[in-house]
Amino acid sequence: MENNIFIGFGEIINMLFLTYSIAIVIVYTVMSFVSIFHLFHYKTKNVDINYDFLLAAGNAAPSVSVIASAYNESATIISCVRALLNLRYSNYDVIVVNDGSTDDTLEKLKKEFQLEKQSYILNDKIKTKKVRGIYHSKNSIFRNLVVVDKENGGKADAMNCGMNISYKFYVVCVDVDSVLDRDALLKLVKAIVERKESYVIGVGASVHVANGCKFENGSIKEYAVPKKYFLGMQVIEYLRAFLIGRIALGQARCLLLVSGALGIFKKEAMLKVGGYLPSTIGEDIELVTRLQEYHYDKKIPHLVLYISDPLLWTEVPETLQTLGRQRTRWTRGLIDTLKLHKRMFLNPKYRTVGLLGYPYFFFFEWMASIIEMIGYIYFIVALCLGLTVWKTFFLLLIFMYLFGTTFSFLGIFINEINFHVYNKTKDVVRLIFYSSFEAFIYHPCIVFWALKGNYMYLRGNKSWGAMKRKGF
Amino acid sequence: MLTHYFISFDAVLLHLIRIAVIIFILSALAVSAATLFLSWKRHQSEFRKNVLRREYEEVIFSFLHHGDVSEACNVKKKLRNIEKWTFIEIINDLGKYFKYKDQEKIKQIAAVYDLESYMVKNIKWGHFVYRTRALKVLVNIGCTQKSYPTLLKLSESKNAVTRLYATQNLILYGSFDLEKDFVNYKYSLSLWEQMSYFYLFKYKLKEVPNFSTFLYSTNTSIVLFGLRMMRLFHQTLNISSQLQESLMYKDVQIQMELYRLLAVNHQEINSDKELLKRFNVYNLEDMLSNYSRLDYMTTDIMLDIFYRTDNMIIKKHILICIYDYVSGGKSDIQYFAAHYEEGDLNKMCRNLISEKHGK
Repeated sequence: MENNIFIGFGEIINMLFLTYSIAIVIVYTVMSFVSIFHLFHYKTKNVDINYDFLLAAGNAAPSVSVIASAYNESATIISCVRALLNLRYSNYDVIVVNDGSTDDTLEKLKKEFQLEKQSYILNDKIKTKKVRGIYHSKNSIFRNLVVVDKENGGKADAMNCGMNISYKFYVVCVDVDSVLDRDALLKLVKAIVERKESYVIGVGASVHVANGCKFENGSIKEYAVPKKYFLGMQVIEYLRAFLIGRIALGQARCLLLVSGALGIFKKEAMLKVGGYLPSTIGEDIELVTRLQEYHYDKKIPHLVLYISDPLLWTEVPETLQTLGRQRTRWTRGLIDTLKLHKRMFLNPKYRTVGLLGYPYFFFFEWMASIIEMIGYIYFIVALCLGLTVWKTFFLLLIFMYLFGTTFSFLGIFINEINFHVYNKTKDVVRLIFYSSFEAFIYHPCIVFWALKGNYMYLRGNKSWGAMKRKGF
Repeated sequence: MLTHYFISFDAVLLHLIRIAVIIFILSALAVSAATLFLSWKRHQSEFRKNVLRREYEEVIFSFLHHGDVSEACNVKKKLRNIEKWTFIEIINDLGKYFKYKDQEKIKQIAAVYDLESYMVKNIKWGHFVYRTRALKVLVNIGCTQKSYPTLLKLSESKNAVTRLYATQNLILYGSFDLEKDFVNYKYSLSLWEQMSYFYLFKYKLKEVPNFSTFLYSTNTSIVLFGLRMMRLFHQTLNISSQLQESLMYKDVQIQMELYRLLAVNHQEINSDKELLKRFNVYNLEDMLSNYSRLDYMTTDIMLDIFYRTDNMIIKKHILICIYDYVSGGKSDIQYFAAHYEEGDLNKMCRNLISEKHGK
């Protein structure tokens, strides 16, 4: 009798797992098709785009402030700022916020760009930590550079400070340890101006992995896939996330995340919602979610767009320890955002954001690792009780492996067909090879870190964690 | 009963999983094979294209440097069998930047190869990618009567990109009357399109039209376009005060653009005090920061705006702008702080200076 009850209970759990698995398969398959279709359309529309007139427009082009926060970035700061000053765009300035660095970041900047402290009245639209000084260059070549020195308050606080300084119409938030494509601003602004300009409040773009690439004067000379397995896997992960997931969510108008490493926002909209939230560690996802929530609450027409062009190359963690810290932080940031904006969950008032975007992040980004863990425990229990049907088990295992691998292959394929980033065929072979082993090596680590992130969140851990960078 | 249901369900499920496994094995193999093939193929074609490009450029540059306009047929003698799109790409790139005599030479090469007919063929029958590309090429190499009917038809296309380039071709051909046809233009112009036209007017047209006629359009985007072009081409606003008044009340963006135009041209702002109230504070702050950085901006112009608004945030921002950006503004603020007794201006200037020194 007891055995029958357990079997019945087991069948119900089986059904729940099956339903979840089928939902994942359907959602990701639909997303893949949406992305492929959109990219075909996008590439068709944007072939041979001539940005000359946007460059020649001078002050007629929308004004943009590129804000980069720097905390102990002494090793890379000069080349990164030089790269930002060399972007192809006619109406922009660069605001570097030194977020209370304890190394010689500010001294290096002062020396390299001949900075001098200037008296400046701050328009404290958003409250931030105390500003210690604002510097402009004596050299007119660097006239569009502003360096702000402030007390340490975290990335969000630094970005908010940059927004207070900016007097441009749009702000581009970038990570100073990344390399922007020289045409990044042109492409981001194009996405805004080709639509009804006042509607677009934010645009995100693809971020790719810079590790393994060769650099010269702050820009990429040769694109290559890193040789280390865990770095290569992050390349695949980024391709999959940006070229499939993000595109599909963008198309459904339910984006909750514009990568903190690169995004352009309408400053007015940012100020209305009070800028980044310094108390959360997932400041990028929280900001976009809050922007969406605010605009729906106030019934203001708006758009958050996503463009698939690879516009930013970022250095991903080299060591397992740093990667683990990054992933636990991402999980904590996601949970924090979902908790802060829980009233959006399945709320028709927020249209596709409430009905698709939020549930997607809830079920498939946050819950996935937890459900997977429960699955492992359930399997062990069933194994101990001798209830495992091995034939079905192996078939399901093969199916899930094939599904995950095909999905990774698809990310590589989409990248190859649309952007052809990696010139050497051996790089593509390497990516395909790496993704074949994802399910056995990389994926379990990611699940472990996601679970650790959940645990750390429950413990109230809100630390950012040190991120070791090798520099370009 | 329940157990029976699960057994039959399991059997069906097992069968479905088997099918899915086979599908995914095939998909994984197909996708990876296609990716590798594409990568290899593209590598090959890029290599071949570079070789061809070098070969074509050598002949074309030699003609541009040493040849006469009438010797364009020599290019064809040297390059008989060409890979058309590679060749067109070079001609198009050169057509974008070359002017006067060199531009004529480019047009001659295009005529010798009858590239216009090839473009028309692509416009009529090609895929959207080739159609757009062909339309852009025509803008740079010039069009004739041959392509006119097709272009005229496409200038009414539902696709904004096609419409943009078809209209640009018609403008260059001379069949699109800028001052009349834009007034009656029924499509909305995005900022992207407006900037594209700006580039065309600036670099491809010998004479710039009088944009004030655009302001009579009922199409808001055309009015905005007109105001922006007037500002960029430094045309003064010469319209009736009634029209100016009606524009002031039309649309927030139009108000802003009109205001910017008047400020740039040092023209009197024909508005009442209420006008500034209708602006969004952040927009206005941005706008004021931009104005105050312009070379000709004086403290007087900024103070004129200061007195027109009752919004204290804007008033403060104006003083900040004067202090930070306007030439001689710092001493002006110090003067107001010291000499104007009482009144908002005096108080605010004193506060500003103490704030400044406080930081």
